[in-house]
Amino acid sequence: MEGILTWMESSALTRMILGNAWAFPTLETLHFIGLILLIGSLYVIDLRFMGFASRIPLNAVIRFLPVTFIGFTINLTTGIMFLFADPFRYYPNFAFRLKMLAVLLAGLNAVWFKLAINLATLSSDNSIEPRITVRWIAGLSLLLWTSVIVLGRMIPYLE
Amino acid sequence: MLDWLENTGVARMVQESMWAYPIVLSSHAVGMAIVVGIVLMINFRILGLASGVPLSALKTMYRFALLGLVINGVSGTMLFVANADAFFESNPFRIKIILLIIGITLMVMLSRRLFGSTDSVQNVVPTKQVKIMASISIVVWTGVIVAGRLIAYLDWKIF
Repeated sequence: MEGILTWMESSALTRMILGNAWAFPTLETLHFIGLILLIGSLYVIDLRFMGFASRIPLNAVIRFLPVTFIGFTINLTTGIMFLFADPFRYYPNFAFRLKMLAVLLAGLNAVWFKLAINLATLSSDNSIEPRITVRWIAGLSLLLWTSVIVLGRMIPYLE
Repeated sequence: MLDWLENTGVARMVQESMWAYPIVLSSHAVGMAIVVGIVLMINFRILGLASGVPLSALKTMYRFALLGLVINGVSGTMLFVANADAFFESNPFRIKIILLIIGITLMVMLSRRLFGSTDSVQNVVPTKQVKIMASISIVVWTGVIVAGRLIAYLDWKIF
């Protein structure tokens, strides 16, 4: 691992980020915008699948998912760039490690969601209400992504 | 006045307790994701994304956005009083507050139009004026995020 971190630290990308005073604030701002797109869209989808706003058809609310993927792509890219900028700071950081674990769990939870909802049922019947299992998955998603925000914000304080 | 604020009980707690500051900062980030995330999704819907979602049915989501706004009103005030004169002197902070006032005004105006007295169950088609307001709202709220993030860079290091 040490070898990978050393290689990251000596990369051209690292020099570019550290050599430009505006790079870090720009990346951070983009990471916040990505966060809002990723988690904001998921809040709307999760709240609906938890049972709120029952007048919104389930197969209509999932159309916000492209926003989720755009947000995720922005944050994966900017996140990797932070890691390159200071690999020896992030890798051992406890809050960073917990955050990555929470992202992983949220990803697995999303796979479970995909398996648990029947898209065919969703499109054939708009009035159908989410099953109890699906409600729990949505609640878990909301909780995990909220913890991702909190853990990310804690990185500077848990060094 | 600013000195007095910095000496209040709340300000002292945020300044002196090791955990108060990161906890308030995390709440501010979570509140941000809720209010800006949901407001952006409502605006994206007005502009045509996820068009199967009835606009009037987003009222429940709007209420959650208001909850996020309350979280950030409280956490934001706590962050402000802990360092009142530095924030007051900060240009990005001043710009953020101006944009915030415009953003909240647009949010309230749009909510009156979408969820107003008509209590229509129908899927209202947004007028051109509503679409223009939604576009401005997206730009303004993005500006709130950018200005907010730059407070930490342009004037003094906050973390």
